[in-house]
Amino acid sequence: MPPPHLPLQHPPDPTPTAQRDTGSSMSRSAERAYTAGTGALGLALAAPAMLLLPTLADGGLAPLSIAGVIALFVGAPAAVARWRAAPEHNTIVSAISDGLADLVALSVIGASVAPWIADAGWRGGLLALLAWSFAWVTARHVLLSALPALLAVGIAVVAGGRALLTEPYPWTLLEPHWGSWPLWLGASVVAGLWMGGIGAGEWSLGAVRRPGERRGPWAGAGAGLLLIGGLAAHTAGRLEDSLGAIPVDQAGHDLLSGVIASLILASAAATVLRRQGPARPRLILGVLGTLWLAGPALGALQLGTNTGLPAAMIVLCLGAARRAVGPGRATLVVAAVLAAGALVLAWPGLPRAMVDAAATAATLAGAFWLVATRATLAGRPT
Amino acid sequence: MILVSVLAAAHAAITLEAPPVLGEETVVVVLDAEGHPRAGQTVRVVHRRGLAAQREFAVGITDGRGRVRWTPQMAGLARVRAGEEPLDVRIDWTLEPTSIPLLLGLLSLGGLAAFGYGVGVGARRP
Repeated sequence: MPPPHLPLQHPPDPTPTAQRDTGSSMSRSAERAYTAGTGALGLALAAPAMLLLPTLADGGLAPLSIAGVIALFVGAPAAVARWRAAPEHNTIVSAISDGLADLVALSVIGASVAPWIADAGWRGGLLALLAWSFAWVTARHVLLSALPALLAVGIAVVAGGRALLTEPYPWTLLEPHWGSWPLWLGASVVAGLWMGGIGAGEWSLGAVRRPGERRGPWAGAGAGLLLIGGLAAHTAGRLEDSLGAIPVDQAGHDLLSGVIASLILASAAATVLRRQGPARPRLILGVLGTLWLAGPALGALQLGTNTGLPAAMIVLCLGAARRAVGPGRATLVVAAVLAAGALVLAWPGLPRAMVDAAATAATLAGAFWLVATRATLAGRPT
Repeated sequence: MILVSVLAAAHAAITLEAPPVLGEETVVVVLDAEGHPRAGQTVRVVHRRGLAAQREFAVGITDGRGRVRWTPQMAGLARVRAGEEPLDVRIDWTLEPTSIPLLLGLLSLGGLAAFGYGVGVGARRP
């Protein structure tokens, strides 16, 4: 049976209980230590890189490069700073922060794979259910649950390499177009910040910080870059092979990309189910959320990704910056400022179709309910 | 007569005398369904159709032999049109661009380095 609580494979936290509870720093040796589980967790967090694929048509490799720089120089360091910042315990603020992190993680995972699930119709829905089932069964085993993500990154790299090494070379789609930055910069910044796992709560949710987690965000950012680099080259190869006959927005939606999206979903879902607290409600919310984003809310997906996610990130980063010290605080503030910039740049406008507007309103209501319920429960006397 | 012209236009065929290369002249030939040259046909080209920096240029009007000279101004995928008839082509670079593989290589190296650090290459185990 999958766990209702934390996995058992992590080594015990060497930080003394009193030190943990007051949120003071972990010992330097423990912070420098490394666990395979953390690397595996980071690998599973490559999912947000999938958000970059639609930007290829607007800027080629330019949005990927900017996202990579932001992931490596802001996203991952900010995620580390958020992990280091002493967490608050048993307060309404911490409940809101944890609820928001849960919501954001489910949204990022769902939004990253929704277009592929939607494209595959009922088969996509079935694949999503299978992916969440796999996550449920393997959530206890950190390394096992990360295997699909490792496979996904491997497939993407091999497919991309194949496209780059065979003629005709796929330069048309990959050619960077820096001048068209208003079209892609916002989405690129959002994906870059998420590629380090910042805000999703992987490195900060709950009271326990495990040794070695400091490295996790780098694994996420690195795996994300390899994944999107491979997928981009593969997509460009398909477009080039068809001499442009395939519509650009469909070039990245073949069977191989669908398989990669499903594998990434399986690993990323396990990270959510492994967190502190009961896993069953997260499973139900995760499955329903993924199907919702790939179905009725697909038309509102861009609005949610480009505005909802940066807005949540600003709240989470500033909340952690309040508790952080030194360079960590500055990094978190920079991440929040970048997220604010992305919010302005990537604003796609309000939905025009009635059904998309209704889906947006329903998503907002559901999100508010999820976070508010956590806060209300936390405020109750025990 | 008008109906015949429309049908013929719908089945026109576009061919190129040589594979298009950036900056090198080639000839576009437009024939009707029966293989006869189509004179007076306007030929246009759309570079990077549906992508950033999409550009459309007029190539010219076909002569009595259904031919018009064309020197591609952009490399990559393009669509040549004569009336309603399209021909998707790939315009080769004179020299393969180095900036694109270089940028992709840098991205991959950065990703590999970050991933290696993240999964603990060279790290002490607790």
